[in-house]
Amino acid sequence: MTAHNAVGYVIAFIAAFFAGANVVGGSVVTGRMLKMFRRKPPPAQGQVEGQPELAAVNGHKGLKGLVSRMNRTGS
Amino acid sequence: MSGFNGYIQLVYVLVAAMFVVGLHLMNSPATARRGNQVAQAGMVIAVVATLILLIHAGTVTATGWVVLIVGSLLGSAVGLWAARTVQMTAMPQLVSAFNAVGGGAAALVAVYGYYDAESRVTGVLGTTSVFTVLDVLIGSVTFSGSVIAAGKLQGLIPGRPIIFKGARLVNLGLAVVAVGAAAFMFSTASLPALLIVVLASLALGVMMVLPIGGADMPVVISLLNAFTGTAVAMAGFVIGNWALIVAGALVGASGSILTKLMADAMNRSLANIILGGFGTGDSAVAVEAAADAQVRSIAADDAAIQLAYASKVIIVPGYGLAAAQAQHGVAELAKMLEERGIEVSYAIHPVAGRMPGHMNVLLAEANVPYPQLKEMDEINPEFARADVALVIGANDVTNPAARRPGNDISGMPILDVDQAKAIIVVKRSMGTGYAGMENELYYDPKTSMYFADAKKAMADLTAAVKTLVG
Repeated sequence: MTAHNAVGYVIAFIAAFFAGANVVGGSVVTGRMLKMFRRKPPPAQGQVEGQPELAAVNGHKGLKGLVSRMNRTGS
Repeated sequence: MSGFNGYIQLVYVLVAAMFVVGLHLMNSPATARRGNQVAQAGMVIAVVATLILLIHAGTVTATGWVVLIVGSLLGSAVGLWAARTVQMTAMPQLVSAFNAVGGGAAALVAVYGYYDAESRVTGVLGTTSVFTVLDVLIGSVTFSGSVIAAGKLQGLIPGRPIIFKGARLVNLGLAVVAVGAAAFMFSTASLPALLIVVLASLALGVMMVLPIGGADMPVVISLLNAFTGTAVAMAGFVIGNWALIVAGALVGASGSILTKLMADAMNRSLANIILGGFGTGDSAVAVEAAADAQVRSIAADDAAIQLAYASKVIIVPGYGLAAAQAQHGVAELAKMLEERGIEVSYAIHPVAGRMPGHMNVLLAEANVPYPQLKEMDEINPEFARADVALVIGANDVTNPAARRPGNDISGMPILDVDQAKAIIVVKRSMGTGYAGMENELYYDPKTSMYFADAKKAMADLTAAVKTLVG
């Protein structure tokens, strides 16, 4: 990184930006996809109708499950 | 300096080993998350080692540090935000976008190196290596190709194959220009030549992906991923970073293997997919086959009766399920059927959806137990025992015409859905799939067509089953 002019800095900036997005985004999205394959507890009785997401959360995962789910869906 | 540099290289070897171990752990769903964590830790160590190397060398200017740090932090923030907030159904385009920036970053490493050497007047010829040229070529093709692929998946660019007369001639011309300019760089230091290589490669990437249609997307995403890895490995050679070389080679190799597997799953060569022109009007032979046949349509109540009184149901998900975001609906329906003691499994075709593993991820999101997802070879013998095969938004991968020679999908391995005792197809209309040919399955006397949006159909079916047995 020894550029002495603007063009060099611009190239370096875009490269750093791209690399950051690729590395961080790629590993986070991989983690997010893999998290879905985690072994889930057996379905609990009395699920919430029409809301399978909530129903699964009720299945023994409690608040932690709900929080991680909200983080994941970003909602 | 060389001693210090040696230690850093040792750290890079450790990092490379961590990548290999991480990848190996991803072999099984049980250890896959740990694998990703090991790889992430390796990446953190690599970044720290490189920072130490740069500080020790002291060649980065103050402005340079600001540019690097601000750039990578901003990029990381954008990547993190996108990875966290994207809908599961939009995952294929995000993966494609990440491919794009990966290839772009790799290409820019070589461009920067070349530009920087040029600006210092001396030694620019020495920096023109075969790695520089390959890095720029592959990285640029990956960048523009992945941007087009993401655009197609997002619906910003028509998903159908875009083909025009003389396209192959244009491609040949672009390839000649790119390779010619690259060859020129070896004899004469020339920034304009480098620029020509970049531009011609970018154009080639666009031309490569435009003629590829929606259903081939899993193969293309996998291929572009392999390209990204290869470009990154080349970038590693350009700047002499072993961790980068190994990481890139791993991605390149695994991406290539996956691409081959997926192309095989469609019984098509890679060249055939890349060159495109699949089912674009010259396939009248297959379309007329079913002109006089009748299609039987079915309503939610009747479909619910069939499902509720079955003892074995196989669900066949396809892209339509993803497009309609019906994964939770189907999981709920399946759960209700299971509570009645019905055996439910999912038949996953290798190229179902728009990216490798698309269906697996979607169904996992809806909490479908992983063992219920069965691969093609495993599930095909089971169709004969199934009372109902419920096809949701899958088309070409269920077409029995593939078993006969003489049509566009001849020889493509398919799910033997037609072996089931009864078939219910949830589909919005009689529109053809990607291959542009009629699906003979729909005209099978055992088949009932349930015309509806997949999400609404799942809700209605679940309600109907509940009323029926409740």
